[in-house]
Amino acid sequence: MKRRLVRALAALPPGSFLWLLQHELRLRLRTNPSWMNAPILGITSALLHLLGLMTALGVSHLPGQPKALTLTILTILLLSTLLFMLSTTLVTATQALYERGDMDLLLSSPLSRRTILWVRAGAMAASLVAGSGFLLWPIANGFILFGYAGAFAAYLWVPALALFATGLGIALTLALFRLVGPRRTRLVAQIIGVSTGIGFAVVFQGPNLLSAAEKQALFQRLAASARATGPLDGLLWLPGRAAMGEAGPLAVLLAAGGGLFALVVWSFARRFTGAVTAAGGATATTRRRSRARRFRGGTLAILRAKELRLLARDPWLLTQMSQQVVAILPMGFLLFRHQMGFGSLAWLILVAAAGVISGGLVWLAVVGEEVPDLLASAPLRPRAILGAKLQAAYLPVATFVLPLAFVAGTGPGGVWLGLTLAACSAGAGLSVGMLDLQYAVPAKRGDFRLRHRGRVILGAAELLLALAWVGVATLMLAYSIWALILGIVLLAPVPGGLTKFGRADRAGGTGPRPRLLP
Amino acid sequence: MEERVALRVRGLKKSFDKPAVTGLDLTVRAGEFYGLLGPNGAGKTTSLRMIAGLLRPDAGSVEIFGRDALADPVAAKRLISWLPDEPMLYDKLTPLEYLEFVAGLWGMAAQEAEGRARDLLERLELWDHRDERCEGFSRGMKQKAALAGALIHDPRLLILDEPLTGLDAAIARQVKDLLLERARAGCTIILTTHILEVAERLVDRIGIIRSGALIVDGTLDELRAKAGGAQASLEDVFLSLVAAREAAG
Repeated sequence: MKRRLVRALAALPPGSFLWLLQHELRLRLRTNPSWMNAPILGITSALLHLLGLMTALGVSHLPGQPKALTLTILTILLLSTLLFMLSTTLVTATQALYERGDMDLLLSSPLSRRTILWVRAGAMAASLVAGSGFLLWPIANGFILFGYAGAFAAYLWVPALALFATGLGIALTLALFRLVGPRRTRLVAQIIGVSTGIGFAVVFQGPNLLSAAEKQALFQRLAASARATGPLDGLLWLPGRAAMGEAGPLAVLLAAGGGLFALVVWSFARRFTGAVTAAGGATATTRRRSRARRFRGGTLAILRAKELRLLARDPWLLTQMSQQVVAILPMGFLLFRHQMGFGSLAWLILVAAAGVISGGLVWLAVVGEEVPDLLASAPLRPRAILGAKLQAAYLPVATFVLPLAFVAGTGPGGVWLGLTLAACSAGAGLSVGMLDLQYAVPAKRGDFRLRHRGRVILGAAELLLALAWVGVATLMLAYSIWALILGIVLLAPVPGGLTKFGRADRAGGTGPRPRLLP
Repeated sequence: MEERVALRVRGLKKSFDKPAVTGLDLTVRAGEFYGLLGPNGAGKTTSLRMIAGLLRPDAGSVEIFGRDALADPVAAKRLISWLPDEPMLYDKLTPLEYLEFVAGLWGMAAQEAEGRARDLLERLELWDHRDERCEGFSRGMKQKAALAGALIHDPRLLILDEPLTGLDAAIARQVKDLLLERARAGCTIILTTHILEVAERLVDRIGIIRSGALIVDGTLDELRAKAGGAQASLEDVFLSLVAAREAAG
């Protein structure tokens, strides 16, 4: 079977749409993270199916829901899925413009620009279908098994939304290119993409933050406002009706998705490939000036200043870090909302933020060093370099945590809240930072977003440590001795990190890419 | 006596998956412009990285102006500068900020560093771009900024790995002139290059490395004599000596 497929692919006429598409998809498959192998995907899919079955079972036991509420929930589901897809497309479309990869090769070949964009956009849409379908289809399957035949529609509306999001994403990227110019498009598009992704996370996690009664009240309000908007067969409810499996709305959704995709690819092929060329030119000729000032002395001060300067000049990295912080907020609320009031909990999220940001900054400063050879060839002890880098990583965290802890300490929460915030933020920063120091793999600074690729456990451990420190803070506020015990346990990565730090001087060069760590 | 030898390497060995350097012996005198040539994969870059302290050898010794570079790497690194073919730059820094940073790494006084940075940037025609971030620079401009970084602390031993790769004729000329100027001022320079014309024009002495060991070493005339062609070009000499060694197994 596999051999027949390989033979069929090899028989595709070179230069044709399908030939190029199979090349593109092969490249995308090969750049997938190493954990994305068949057994792990199979287990995850099985778990998602189980979740789907449980959800369907739960819904089947509920008394009949009014159509208005079902439509509202499904419309929100479709719109937030579209938001997620759009955020992904904005990022991948700008990547296609700037991280040129094989674009120069393709554009210098005799292939038509339209074929190139058809394939590139088609591959983007295919990735969206695969990603969203992997998560949503098992849930739909659960409903199908319980007799909800309308759930079959998910196999159509997911591709329809993917096509719509791809078309819209490419059109938006090109509009940005025209509005703000090639130099700023990447940053603006990425920030919009990340913010849209955050919007998706908030919409999805939002109901989890509410109590059962609040949730019920919200659903009633939603149903009431749905009824107030007029007849339920109006245009507004078209996505929801499509998701329920109504043939007409589903056909409209498919036509809208396919139509927008085709229209954008057909009309913008020349503009897109022109933008690729312009983006390359802009990268080569960018002239960003920085304020000139007198030279400073002091090796370690200069090392620290360099790290802070590089960080301040990369808003994209800062955006990604804020994305992580925003992503853990709903989880924090979910875990600890029963233990304390909203006011104190809002303050304690600072602890988790300090942990996550410290991990990111330690990674950037130490592991993601851009020019390790330069530092390794300098007449400095590696331990001194590492020390300065850690100071540079923790300085921004201290700068935002300490004033906020002071404000909290002088407010109604009292001094104990301020002290708790300061102590637990420091603990979270140390735990997560030292964990990164020990286990992170050297990579390029630009790969910050993918730094846990192939090390999913490390990424999850960072997140859990940061959240566990919120737990310590909760116990501290309750004057529990368990705060001390749990805090000591959570500091487990620190001795390992300090040992690495101590060994740095004995490391020397360790391979083709010298590291600051042994 | 020791100070007259800039670099002494004895029995240097390094293996990765397979042996890369297999017992390199090399001596470079102070003030000499030395060219290290060899076919692709001969072990040139690995040898230079070990000399620069970027890679720990499996065996052997490296002395830089009499200092044991393996026992006291910090003292040795104070005297040297390393410039690879890929410029070691931070894209988000300006050339002036980069030079301030490098000068800081080598512990230079701020005022002295500022003066030298200005001289070097003017000399390399980068002064007008001093406050622009390196991310927008062409490859040649980046390589010039990296060269300024390598020279700012006035190293006694300058190690250059393919410094002219990808540079246009005008920039390559600027770089070569600056290197010759430094050599005349007494700086010891070791350079690897695939452009044999560059080696022929610039260097005092040439070493040819193959399979991780030095197979021959001397002035161009001495190498010609060994290759048996008094008027031969360096290219002919190089090919003939490498072929002879291959034939000898």
